[in-house]
Amino acid sequence: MKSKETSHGTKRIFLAALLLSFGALAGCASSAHVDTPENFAELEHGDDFDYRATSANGVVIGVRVEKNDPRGNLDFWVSALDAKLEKSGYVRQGDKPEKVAAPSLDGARLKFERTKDGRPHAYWVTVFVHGDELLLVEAAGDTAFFTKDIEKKIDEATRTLTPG
Amino acid sequence: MQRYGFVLRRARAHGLCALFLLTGCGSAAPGIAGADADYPPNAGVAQAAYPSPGAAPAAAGMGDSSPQAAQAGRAASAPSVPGVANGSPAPGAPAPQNAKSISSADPKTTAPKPLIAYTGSLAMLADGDQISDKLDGIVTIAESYGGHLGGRTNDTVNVKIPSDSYREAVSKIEKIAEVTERNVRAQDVTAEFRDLEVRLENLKATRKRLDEFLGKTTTLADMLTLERELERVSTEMDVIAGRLRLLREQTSLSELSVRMVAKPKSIAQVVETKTPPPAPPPPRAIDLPVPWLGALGMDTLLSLQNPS
Repeated sequence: MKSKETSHGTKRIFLAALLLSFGALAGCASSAHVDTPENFAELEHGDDFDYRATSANGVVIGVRVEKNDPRGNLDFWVSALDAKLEKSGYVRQGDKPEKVAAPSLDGARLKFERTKDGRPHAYWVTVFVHGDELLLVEAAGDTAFFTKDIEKKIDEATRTLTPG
Repeated sequence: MQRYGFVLRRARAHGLCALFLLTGCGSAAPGIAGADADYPPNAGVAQAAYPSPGAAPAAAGMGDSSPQAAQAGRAASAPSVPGVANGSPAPGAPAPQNAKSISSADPKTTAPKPLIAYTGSLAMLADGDQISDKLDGIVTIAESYGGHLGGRTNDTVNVKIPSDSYREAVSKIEKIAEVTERNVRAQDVTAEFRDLEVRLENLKATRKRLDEFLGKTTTLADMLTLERELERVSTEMDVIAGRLRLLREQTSLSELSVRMVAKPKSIAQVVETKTPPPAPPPPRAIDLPVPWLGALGMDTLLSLQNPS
């Protein structure tokens, strides 16, 4: 009788530990996603992205989550991204970053252009600071296909960004 | 015959008399009874070289045909003539009436002003495009002191400046540009000037006496001799007067020559004009220790073929 009670107790502890482990893993696994824009198809995410989708002409939108480390505010990360991309040959479009609001998130968008394979390409990156995480929504494509319509769809998709 | 001999002796006596007188008067005949005009100035030597115009002819009996007169004429050239001995007054002898003595001027009342002729030269450095203006400035300074332009080339100028203001004017000119070489020479010509003045006065007196003799002589030979002597004295007077005039000009206006040299361009200036300094490099931000920033960009995003 006693041994039966002991066996039940052990099972309960094991289950509790298992649940806790799953819970912990679920909490650590950062992710974010956006609504897939119209006429875009979702791609496999891979290791670098939490979400990625492409248009038929190769305009791609992607979402990635990174650690807010070193911990900085939105202005810090906007400046860091701007410096890094300009150093890599991207040419900034517009004087100031655009403010972009997502549900319960405030972000800023930087727009760049760069030549790739002899063609001008547009590259947008929108950064949101979410506690210990940075949520980044990227979009890129040949400027010939980066039309106003596509821009609008990307902007609308970005505003649907949801962490977790 | 006797009459002829007498006339001959008389003529010889006249000639000798005139000759003695003339040699006694000639200041340019050293060694003869005349005083040497080249005596040191300010030596205090009375210029009693020449017999008194009144005394000598009187003693010589110019125009007198008597043998006594001829004898007296010879005696006039002898060193024993009272008061005259080779240009120096005999001790105790009274000074001749026409003797002109340098020492007779009272130094206390008439202290001679020194006569100095300055000759200077300067070498100066100036910017190449300013040389002409600088040279004009030098002329202007000289003119402001009463001087004038003496000569001018592209890079040199010669100006005359009143000697009294020479030092002040040169100091002012030296401020116009950087002086690299300076050479000023002062020549005191006071002694020479005074000496020449005295010599000229004596020659004038001599010529006056010769004129007087010429007016009194009756023979052609005497007249010719006197004329020659007059010509020699006049020539010497002209030479001295010319020299005096030159000294006066030299001492009233002194000379300054200025040579202006262009400053060499420095190497730094040459480099600056040929190759402008390189532009500073763009500001370089230090990369943050954030590895994922390196993977950010369209290259990763657009890699559709091989998503990792």
